Amino acid sequence: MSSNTMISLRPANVIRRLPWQIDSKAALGFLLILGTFSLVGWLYLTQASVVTTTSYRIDELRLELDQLKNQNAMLALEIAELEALPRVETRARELGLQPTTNVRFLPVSNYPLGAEEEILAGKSAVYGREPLDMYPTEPVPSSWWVQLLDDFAAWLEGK
Amino acid sequence: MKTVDSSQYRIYTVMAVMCAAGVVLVGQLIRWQIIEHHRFRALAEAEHQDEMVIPPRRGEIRDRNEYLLAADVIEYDLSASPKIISDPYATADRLARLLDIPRDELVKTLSSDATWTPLVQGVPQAVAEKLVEWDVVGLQVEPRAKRVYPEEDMAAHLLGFVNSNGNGFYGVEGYYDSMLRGQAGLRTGERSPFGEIIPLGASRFVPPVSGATLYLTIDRNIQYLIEAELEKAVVGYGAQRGSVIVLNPKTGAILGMANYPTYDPNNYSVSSESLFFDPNVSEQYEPGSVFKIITMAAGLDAGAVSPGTIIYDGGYMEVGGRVIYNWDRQGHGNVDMTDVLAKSLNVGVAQVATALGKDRFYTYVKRFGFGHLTQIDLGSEGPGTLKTPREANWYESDLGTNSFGQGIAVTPVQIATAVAAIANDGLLMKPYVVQRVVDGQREIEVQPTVVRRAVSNATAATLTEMLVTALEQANSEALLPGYRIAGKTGTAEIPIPGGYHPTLTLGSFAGYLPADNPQVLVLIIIDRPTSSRWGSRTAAPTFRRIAERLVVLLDIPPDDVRLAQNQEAVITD
Repeated sequence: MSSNTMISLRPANVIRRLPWQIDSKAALGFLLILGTFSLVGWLYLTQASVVTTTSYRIDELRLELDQLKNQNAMLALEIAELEALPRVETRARELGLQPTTNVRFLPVSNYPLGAEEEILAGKSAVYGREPLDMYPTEPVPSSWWVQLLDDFAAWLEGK
Repeated sequence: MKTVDSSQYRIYTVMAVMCAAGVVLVGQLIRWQIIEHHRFRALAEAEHQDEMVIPPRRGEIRDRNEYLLAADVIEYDLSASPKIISDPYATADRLARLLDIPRDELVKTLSSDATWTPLVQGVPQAVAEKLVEWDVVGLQVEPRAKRVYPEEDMAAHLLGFVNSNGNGFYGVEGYYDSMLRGQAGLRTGERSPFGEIIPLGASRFVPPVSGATLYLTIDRNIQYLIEAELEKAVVGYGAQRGSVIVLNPKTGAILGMANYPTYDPNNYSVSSESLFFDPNVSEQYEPGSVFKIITMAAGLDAGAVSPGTIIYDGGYMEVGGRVIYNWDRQGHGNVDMTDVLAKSLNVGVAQVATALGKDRFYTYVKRFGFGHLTQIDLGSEGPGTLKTPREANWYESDLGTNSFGQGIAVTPVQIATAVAAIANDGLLMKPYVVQRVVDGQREIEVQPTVVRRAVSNATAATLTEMLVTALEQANSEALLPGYRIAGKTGTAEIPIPGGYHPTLTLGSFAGYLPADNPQVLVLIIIDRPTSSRWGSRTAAPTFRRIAERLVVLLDIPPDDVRLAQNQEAVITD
């Protein structure tokens, strides 16, 4: 363009030549970018909203769980207080019951041992009988050996 | 020219000062931005970071049948910030109706100039929820865990207590404190200007871990029974205090352990601190004649004596320069070892001890666990006091006095486990009170532990038979019709500075039943009874009263019924 080119100053021409004047392709591109950003923004806001709502919900549920646990503990305690033996005894006496003083055991032939008794019998065998062989009687050591051990123990204790 | 030089000098001076200031500033910037970067960053983050420690729930304590003995409940403390309460009169009106507190009192508190003031402690959850619902600015509701013992003073010494800071003291609460207290949770996050955590900000939540639940070996029915009987005995015999231990001799499991007087762990602060120690594990006493069981066991096991060994009892005997007398100051002539136990002859057991010799005698005493902790899982256990020949303050006469339980101090749990070793075929078991630990998904079953063999199986069986015969010969008040009981009474003098108290004694009885297959061992201690100074008149009848109800609770039929059943079972097999 030469330096003496005539520039039209008519408003229509001026507007047409302004730098922000864009063509249809650019406009479409711009709209796409705008749409994409809007979508991303909407998704972000939606997610943020969901996260916030969920977070508050979790907090509420956590609080509710705590309260339920507390109520559960209170109920367990209430049951324990109602089951407390002094109370049970007082109530039993009010109902005319008395402690057993004369118990008679009646032997029943061929009485089947229940599972519980069998387990207890097994436990008793494990705890009470088996160790017998495992722990043989130790001979009483002679006096010089006892004295040596005592000396060593005293030395260890710094006496 | 001189003027120019002077102005240049001033310019240079100013430049130098400014450079120096610049260097200082740059240096400070380097320090803040680079060297102490992390500290300042942490400080900046802390300004808008919130960190909340979430206290864990303390584990429960239950008995062997899963009855609740100790648990945490949440209570709420209500406090107020009077300066920011907009309408103290209306707030006082609402609170007065809800909390049943005089309105004028509340108006006075809420209209004060105090920045913060506590209003009510221990508000129940329903009331706390109502207060939170009101959302009155200036009222705060803070949750607080409180330890509750639903059976009140039952097993107080055994359980211990938890103070207001959540720390366990004494008993199971003290010994298993770290296991019971759990792990605190943590919640961190960015704080909004309103003090709430911003949901979208960086945050972290570590949930608290509740403490383990402990299942004890204690049976609350047995515990209740022995506490009731002990109280009756202490009051009835005019004693100062008393203790009872009930244990399974085959396992060492403590079924019940009681002391009187006791305290309520729910309100421990109103009780004297001296009551908090469990005398059964912490206090030592001279066991007296109950210790003759140990001396006789040693004599039999070492072969120094046999049940048929006859000795001459002249009523007194000198050991190490000290004259030992029988309790009745009488000589009983020729007596066998069962007579020695039946008549509780000090001279007789002193002869057994001297026949054994000091080395063998003290070896056996140590084998039975005396002078050492039993390592029971309870806090504040004492080892007792045992002088041995290796110690400077031991004298030859101690061999004689120790043989009948004088000059030696033991804890009740030591003597109970030692006698239980005789009932358990000579095996000394470690006593324990926690049977099972449930920690989340983890479950630990505590197994009985054999400490060592104290005496042989044959010695234990022989001594049991001798103890049964001795009780029957003495027509003891401990005897329970239908059951063969092995046991020994003790009457110990109370040591005081310079000797022993002239009148006060400590009566005790240790016994187990059924003698042929012991299921339960009971130790009774009646301290300083006034109705009678003899253990045979105080501790022995208390044993019988407890034993006759224990056999019902533990479903132990009389010997004839049980042995007939066993015989029938063998025939059927």
